[in-house]
Amino acid sequence: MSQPNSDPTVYDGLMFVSLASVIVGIVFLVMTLGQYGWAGP
Amino acid sequence: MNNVVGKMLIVMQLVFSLLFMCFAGAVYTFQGQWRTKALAQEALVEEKEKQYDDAVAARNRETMQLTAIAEAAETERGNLNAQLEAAETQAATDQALHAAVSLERDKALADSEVASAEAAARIVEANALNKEVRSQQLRISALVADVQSVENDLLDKTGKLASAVEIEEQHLSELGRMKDLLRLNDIDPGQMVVGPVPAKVEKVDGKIRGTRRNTARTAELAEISIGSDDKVYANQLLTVYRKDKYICTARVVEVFPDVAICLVIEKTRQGNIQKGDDVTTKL
Repeated sequence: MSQPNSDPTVYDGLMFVSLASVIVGIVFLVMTLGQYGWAGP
Repeated sequence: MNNVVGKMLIVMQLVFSLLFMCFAGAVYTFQGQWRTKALAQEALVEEKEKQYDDAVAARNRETMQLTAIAEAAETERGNLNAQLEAAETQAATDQALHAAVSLERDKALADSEVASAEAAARIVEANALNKEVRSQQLRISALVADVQSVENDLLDKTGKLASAVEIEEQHLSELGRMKDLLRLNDIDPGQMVVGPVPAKVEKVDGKIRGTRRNTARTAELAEISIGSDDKVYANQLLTVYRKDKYICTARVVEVFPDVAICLVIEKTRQGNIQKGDDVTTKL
């Protein structure tokens, strides 16, 4: 009894945007730590 | 119901994800300024710490200096206390000396008062002696006048003696002439002339009954308790004495049976005759 594939909803879009935001934030943090050589200020 | 919760969770996940992204971007964007400010604050903190350390060191130095000053002051206070004790001891000694000196001064004052009284007495005595000296000087003047008169008398007597010597020489020459005349008449001038033998004088003792002097006090008569009944005769020499002391020799001038009057020979006088003195015809 498999479920049938349904079309992505707006919530799937919101999940995508949130994941993208997390990735962008992680990128910012990595860049910041890179400026300190990964040793902290 | 599950569908509604899932939707709410999705929305919340979206919101938190966006907030995380915003905060991470802000950190990435402003971390340079924050670091600059942090470094400036660190430098400021270091400067403040340095100022604090300097202030602490200065305070420590000042504390040490003040401690040294306090120790010096303590030592000075000890010295001053010792000097104070010495001064108190000296003051006590000086007070004792002052008391002793006061006693000595009082004694000296008493002595000076006694000496003043004695000096006053000496002055009175000296004045009396001065008066005595003046009277003695007057007496000496009178005695000098007497001496001068005596010298005048002596000169007069000397003159008389010279004339007497001259008369004696004349008498001697006359005596020689008389001796020559005797020899011419075959008479030896050295032959003793035999005359009446004086009567034997017997020892008779008597007492002086009284004496009397003449007005000029140049002669003294004495009444004795023996007379012609005791074989006393006129011109007889009697000796007046008192115990073992010779007084004088007297010549009998008037004789009565039980009493006689004698004239004292002044050149034999060695004392004053008193009533009751002994008189004898022969010692």
